[in-house]
Amino acid sequence: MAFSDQELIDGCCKGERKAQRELYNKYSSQMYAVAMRYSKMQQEAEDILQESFLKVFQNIEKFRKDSSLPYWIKRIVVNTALNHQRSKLYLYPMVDISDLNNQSDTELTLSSFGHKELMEMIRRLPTGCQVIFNLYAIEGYKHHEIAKMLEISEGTSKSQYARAKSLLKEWIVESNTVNYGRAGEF
Amino acid sequence: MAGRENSEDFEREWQQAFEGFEQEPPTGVWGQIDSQLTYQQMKAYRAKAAMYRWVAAAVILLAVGVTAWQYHYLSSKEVIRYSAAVNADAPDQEEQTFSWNIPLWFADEEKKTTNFVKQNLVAGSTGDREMYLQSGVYGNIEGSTSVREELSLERLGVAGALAVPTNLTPDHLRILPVYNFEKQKLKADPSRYWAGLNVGSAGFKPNYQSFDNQLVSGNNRSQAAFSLASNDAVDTNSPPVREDMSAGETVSFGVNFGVKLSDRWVLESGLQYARAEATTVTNIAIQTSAYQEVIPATSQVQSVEKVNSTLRRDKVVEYEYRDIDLNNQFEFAAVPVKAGYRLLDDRLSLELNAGVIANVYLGNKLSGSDDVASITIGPGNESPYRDLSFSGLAGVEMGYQLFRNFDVVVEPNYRRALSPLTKQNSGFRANPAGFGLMTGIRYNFN
Repeated sequence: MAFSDQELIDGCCKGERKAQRELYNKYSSQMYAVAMRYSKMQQEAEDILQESFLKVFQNIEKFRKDSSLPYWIKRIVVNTALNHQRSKLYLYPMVDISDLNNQSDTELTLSSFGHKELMEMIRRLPTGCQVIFNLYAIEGYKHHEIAKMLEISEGTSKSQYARAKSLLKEWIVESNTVNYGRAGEF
Repeated sequence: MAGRENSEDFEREWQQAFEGFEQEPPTGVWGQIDSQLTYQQMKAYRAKAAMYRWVAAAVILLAVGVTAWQYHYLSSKEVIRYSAAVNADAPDQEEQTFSWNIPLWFADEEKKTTNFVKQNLVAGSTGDREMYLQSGVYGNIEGSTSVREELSLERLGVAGALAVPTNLTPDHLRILPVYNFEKQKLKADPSRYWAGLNVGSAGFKPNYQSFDNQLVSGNNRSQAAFSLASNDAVDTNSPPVREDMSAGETVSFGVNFGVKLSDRWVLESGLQYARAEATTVTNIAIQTSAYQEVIPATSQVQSVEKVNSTLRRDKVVEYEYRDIDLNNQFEFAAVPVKAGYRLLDDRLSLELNAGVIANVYLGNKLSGSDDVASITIGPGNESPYRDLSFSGLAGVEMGYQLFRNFDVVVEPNYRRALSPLTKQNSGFRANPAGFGLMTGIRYNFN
């Protein structure tokens, strides 16, 4: 029997383990994919997922219905992932935007790549670039919002993003060259 | 999808690529969450259970006290005042020489004694005092050694002074040509001094406030910051030390003593050992080459010499930014001084009191999970805690005289710090407060 979100929320508010399990089953795959994008290692993604769902269960009573439940959970996963990555942001020095070579925009396509390859590309990025790419390109945050979230300057956010974009384009071009003729396999 | 020069298309492509993308997590993740949820529930239950135990003990004690009071109060306060004539053969009121008090419950305890007394009643009462006249009697009390002994002439202090018929055996009641007895209410002898033992439990809300907590370089070190030892630089890009301390519980025991200053006013003091527990959460752990475990970054340990020497730049291996729960175990020796006003001062007593507690800081042991180093912060110059701090106390003490000299006491109270637990130059403040319950026994020196 499939439970509605409201039924799951009500059950979780009462601390019912069955409802918590159902909520986890319903959204864990979606959220694990998000956690994977923000992490380098599988173990790290599992830790983020675990910590996130614990926060969800602890704070489920605070969930207001002005957003959807999966969106609310996803925000918790992203915030938890950011907490995990903050240490690495410190370890990787930020670069100034002026140091970057202007990358010429070339015609690129992602259609020849599967999720697995795209995920691997994101996870290959330096940690700072990875986080900011996820926040800007996929989550849709603005640079000034990212700067506030990560307590960095807006310029640093832009430079990291530019660096991420540059690397990804480079890898896409390389892969397209290598995989020429294999497009559409994924 | 064709590539475009417009950079927004680049982002849109990535968004679309991951839209609705799912990946099933390993099955073990739910197991971890499940055990964490169970652990959290256990923690919550354990904290509540400790308080409930004390409340339950106090309620039971109170219920037993009230029941005992209802059962004994009136009878034990009443005595029968006997007067005996010297001449057992021809009792005469005018010849009254001796009198003594016998608790009424003696009479109630042994029906034969009751019958013995009552069957000779010949008169009624006057005003609020019952008075009975009777002719001299001898009686036989069988089966009650305690009553017999209590009524013996030796015990009553009239041996040798009364003309006791020689034909009475020890099994016979050796009194009295009683010519009257009356019921009176007698007050217990007032006690001026007392001493006792007590145990208690209370909430411990630290009211913790953390100030400017940064991992800072030696050149930019502020007193409030969590700083590394020496002047070696630490990267200032590290996030702020985000720490807080949540409420826990205090358990205490000790001795107390008091003196009655007047009919209503009392002064009390004592010595107590108190252990308070609270939970600190911090977000930075520092791995050093000196320890297997990580060292938590909290304002509490910033000036502990042992930790500082461990946190030399050349010994720091890695920083981890994750939330760590640390158990605080504070220990104090406390000297309360309080004044009380007795609203009731009988077998059951009720007292309002207030006073000051001097808390001598003995130490705080910070401990976390297995991978976190335990750190003890003792008193002294390095400690962020004052060696001596003061709290205010207000409470309601209820006492019940269980035996002749012993009282049981229950006191709900409220304590609040009058001065911070922490030193002026610490990077945080703690002004603990909490409701509590003390129970104990008291011996009255009459």
